[in-house]
Amino acid sequence: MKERLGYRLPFVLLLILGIFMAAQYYIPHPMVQKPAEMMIQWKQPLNAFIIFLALFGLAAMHIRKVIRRQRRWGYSVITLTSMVLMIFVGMVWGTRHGTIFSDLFKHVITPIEATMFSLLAFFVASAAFRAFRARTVGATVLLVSAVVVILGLIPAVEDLCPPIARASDFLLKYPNTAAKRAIMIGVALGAISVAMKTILGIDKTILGRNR
Amino acid sequence: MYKIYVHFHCPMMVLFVLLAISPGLSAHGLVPARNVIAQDEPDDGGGVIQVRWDMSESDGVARYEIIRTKGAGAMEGIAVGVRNGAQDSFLDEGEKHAIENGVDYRYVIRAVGADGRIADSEPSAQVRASASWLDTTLAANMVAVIVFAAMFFVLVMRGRKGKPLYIRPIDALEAMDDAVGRAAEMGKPVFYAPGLHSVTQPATVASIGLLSRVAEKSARLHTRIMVPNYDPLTWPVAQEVVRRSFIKAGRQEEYDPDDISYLTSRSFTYAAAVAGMMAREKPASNFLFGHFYSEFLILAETGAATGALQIGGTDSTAQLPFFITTCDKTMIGEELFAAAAIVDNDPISRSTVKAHDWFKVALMVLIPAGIAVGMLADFGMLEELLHGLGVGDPAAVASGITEALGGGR
Repeated sequence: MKERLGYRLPFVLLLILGIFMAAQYYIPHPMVQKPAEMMIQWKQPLNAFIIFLALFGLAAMHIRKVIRRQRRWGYSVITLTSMVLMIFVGMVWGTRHGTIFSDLFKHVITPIEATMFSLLAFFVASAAFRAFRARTVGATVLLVSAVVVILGLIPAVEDLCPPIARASDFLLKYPNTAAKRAIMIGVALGAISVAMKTILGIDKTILGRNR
Repeated sequence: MYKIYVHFHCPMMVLFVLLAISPGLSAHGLVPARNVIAQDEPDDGGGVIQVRWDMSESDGVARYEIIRTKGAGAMEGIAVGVRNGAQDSFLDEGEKHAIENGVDYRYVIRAVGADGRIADSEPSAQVRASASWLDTTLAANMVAVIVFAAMFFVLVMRGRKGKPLYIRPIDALEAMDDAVGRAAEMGKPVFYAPGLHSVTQPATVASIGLLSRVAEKSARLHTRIMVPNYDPLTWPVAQEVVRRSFIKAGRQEEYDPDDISYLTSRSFTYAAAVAGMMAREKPASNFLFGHFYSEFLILAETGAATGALQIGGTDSTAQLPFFITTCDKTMIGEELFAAAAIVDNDPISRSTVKAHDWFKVALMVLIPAGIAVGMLADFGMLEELLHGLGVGDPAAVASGITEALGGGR
């Protein structure tokens, strides 16, 4: 009995709260909006707890790797050292601008992320090279369209060859927008469907239950 | 004016007469604003009043001060806002002084001249702010959701009765089992990225649904599955789903919780970590399902460089071109949601996919119909058509339709 209650309670809560949160989108009355806002605010402490849990899990995993001397355990030592260092400097000297924590973030994390971001340019080039090989009719149409759009976006082409600029504008404005909107309609329907399946307990994924 | 002056020989008398013959003119010669109308703002949670007025006929009005009085007989008011001399409306949201719902208020518009002269309007009629129980601006949205929900329930009922439903096969979905099989044959791991959104988002829910299928297949084929997570809330859910999949396949002893790990919640740091894992582990197959941002290309290009078979799916229109370019098979938009329902052998879940299709058919009829009606309205033929159809007051109906269509353009 207890197990059944434990199994069903999350679904009952999901049903009640799911219907309430869907309805509040259409009801602006404070009697509905205030509890909805309060529930959204509950996410903040929950999120903090979840992040703590995730960090704990991450640290535990790397500690296990080091203790068991698993393959590439050296990376785990670096991760754990960095984690402890950042927590230590953050707790001792604070995290505000100008502190060691802030400087480490600014001079280590930010450049690393910027480096990863800048790599995108090369990845875009290599992906484009593969995509634009005119092997099939579809790929050829894609190639021609891409060339027209790229040329049309060059400022000088607008003066030198107005038809290309117009063709580029047409491709972006009409076929591209139409396709995007079609996909967005499908995505919206799919999202509503997933939401309804979850609220009605047909889909139990969100609670970690298998199908 | 000169003639009057000559006639009365006294400027004060002239002013007095002017005031007497012109009720709209202030004591200082500035004409006040007229027809002050205050209305409750519709479709809101209350506490907002819209005020409109006819501007002063005098030149040189520098600004209008909006003064609110509380109660029917109150004389003292508070200034709640200022508008420049060219503006004739104000939305009082009670920023400085809150508006209470159900309390009577009146508004006076004070015209202030560039030289400091002032002229107060007649107060508006009493107005009361109230909260709405329904936002009518979302009526079309609500109707669409209700229609979709109705289709959903009808099809779920059909599914419960076990009536067979045809669902178009999805290439990427059918390739999933082969991709896991490839990993088993090569003795390499399978890699699964559930996207960057939280598990509270539909794309991630769908992705986790597909993860259960991939994990179960991997477990059956004694293949290692690695699931690096970006979102701390998705991580325990993914871990639980994979654990249950291994139990379902009878291989719980092969389940390693460290393979379903939380990495970081910074997108490019996540990309760096995952790209590094791909380069080191060289997985045979990569599954990239969910919502991704620009870091996706780093993951997918690294995966392609390591020679992995890649299957992806996303609801992000901005990233779809990159998915199509870098993945061997791609689920486009709603296919991701449909696939999550199809992998579940439950007929009820499968029948929900049909609801998408029915609604899309309805949209395919409604969109061209809307375009046709819009064109008729643009060419002024809609009113004639409605008249021909015997619709009462065709002008009003045509205007309503045009307005409704205009809102969507």
